Amino acid sequence: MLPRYNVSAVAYLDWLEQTLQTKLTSKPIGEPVALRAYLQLTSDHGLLTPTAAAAVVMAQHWFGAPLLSVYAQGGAELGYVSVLAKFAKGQTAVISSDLVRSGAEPCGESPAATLVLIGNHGSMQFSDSPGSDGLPVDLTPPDDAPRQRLLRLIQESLREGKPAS
Amino acid sequence: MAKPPFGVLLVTGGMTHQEGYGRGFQADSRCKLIGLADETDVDERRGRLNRELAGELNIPLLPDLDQALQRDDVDVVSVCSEFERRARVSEKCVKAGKHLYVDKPMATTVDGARRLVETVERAGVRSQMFTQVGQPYAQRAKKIVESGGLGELRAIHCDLLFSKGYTGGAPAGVPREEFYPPTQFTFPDAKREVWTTAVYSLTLIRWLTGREFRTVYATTANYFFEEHHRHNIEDFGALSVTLEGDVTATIIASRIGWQAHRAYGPNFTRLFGSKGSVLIDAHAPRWQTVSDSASWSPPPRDPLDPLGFWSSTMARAGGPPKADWYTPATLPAKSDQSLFLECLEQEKEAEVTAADAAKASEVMLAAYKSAATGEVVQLPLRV
Repeated sequence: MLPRYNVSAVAYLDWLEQTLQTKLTSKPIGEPVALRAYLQLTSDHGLLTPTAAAAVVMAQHWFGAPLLSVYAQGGAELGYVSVLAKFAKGQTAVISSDLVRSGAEPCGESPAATLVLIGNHGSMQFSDSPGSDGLPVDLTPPDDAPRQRLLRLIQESLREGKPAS
Repeated sequence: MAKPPFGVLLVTGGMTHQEGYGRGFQADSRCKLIGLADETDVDERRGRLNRELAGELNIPLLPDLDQALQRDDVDVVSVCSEFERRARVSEKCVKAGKHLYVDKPMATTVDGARRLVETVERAGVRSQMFTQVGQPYAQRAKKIVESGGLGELRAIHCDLLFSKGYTGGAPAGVPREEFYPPTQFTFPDAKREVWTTAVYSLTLIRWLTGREFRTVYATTANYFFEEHHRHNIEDFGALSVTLEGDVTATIIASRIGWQAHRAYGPNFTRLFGSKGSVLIDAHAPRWQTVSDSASWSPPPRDPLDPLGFWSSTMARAGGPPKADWYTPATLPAKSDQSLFLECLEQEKEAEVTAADAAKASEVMLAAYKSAATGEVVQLPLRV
């Protein structure tokens, strides 16, 4: 288990998911009901949708409920992907995966993650600038079967312009 | 065109946002409160609340709105009537030639909204719906967009969640079944949160982009409050919308409980452009205080206002404000009432007119339709 708590040893989103998964067992905010995630983790257009997919899977694990549907907007070519995801126990996740542009004005963009997890008795907020301390961090989204399924659903929604389930 | 001081007639009183708007107008030297009026057939409770606010503001109670509207010294009306009669009352005031300042949202039906807009245009009066565009976070967003540093705006995300009310009582793990069209908007102890909160974000997005909404996809939920569950109305909503020019936006609108935030609730505006991006936290920059002072406690539950809507009930409860976070002003806040008076003085259009308000109502109704059907709803909404 130890490597899971070492941000340099696992994919960043895996690390993020696992750290809060443990915390949530003590019900600090009651039942998690909604997630807002602003993720700006990659400068690779091709990884925007996989990052969003990984975040939806993360929400699914925190909520402890199967996914019902995703509705996605944007696209890799536009530099962002937004996803509104609904889950079987009524939970909601709204996720944006945005491109990091190092040449952006006025001083470039750096990887950033801001999350607000809302529970029925409180909320938790997380802000990070991964890698800003110079330590190695793997911001590549995890790529396993559940994430690949989500990736296909998000791509379908982007293509069709309607929710996919 | 009237010149200051403008005579302002308050329409509908206590336990509405008139408590704040009336004081906002009263504090501005460019106007004078003429009185507080309402329709003659309001119920006993509404009549009593009207008397109470008129008394608190030390202004005359004018029991017959029709008569009050005939007065030449009334230039402006501030309408805070209940949702279901707001557009009708506003229309009556506009037909009398009065400038319209109206609470949000302006109308509960698309027809009602469009009819009021036409009446405003025919009467040639100014109009403004209350919004947050004068708040520092919104002013900051506007300046950033206008600076051009982000390039062309491609996506906007707005989260506005009010940290008020006592959570508990909504069954956990039960998806909400939304229905369409919504049949009731006014309840004594609760509000539909998409209806009363998403309106701020929708007007902000339209104000920032200058673009029209094209589609809406939405979901609603009951996560927190017994009151919302009992009335079968939502306390949470999420919207995903498209606008002209391939701009998109997402919105979270909710009320999440007194103890769910150190201040008055998460308020984020994320702007993503072709050249850059920014995340504006309305609570940043901030000082965070940690001390040996007693931790903040919510006010006692007021059975008449359990969700903490009104300044009068909060004042009666007497609890201290939250003080853990101190957000120094980075830009001056402009009161919404002062913005409208500025428009009247300078004879210019308001930032959020009745026409803009009508668009917001339409998107929210479309959001309910989408939440009920699970489908993407096209705009304009067919009625």
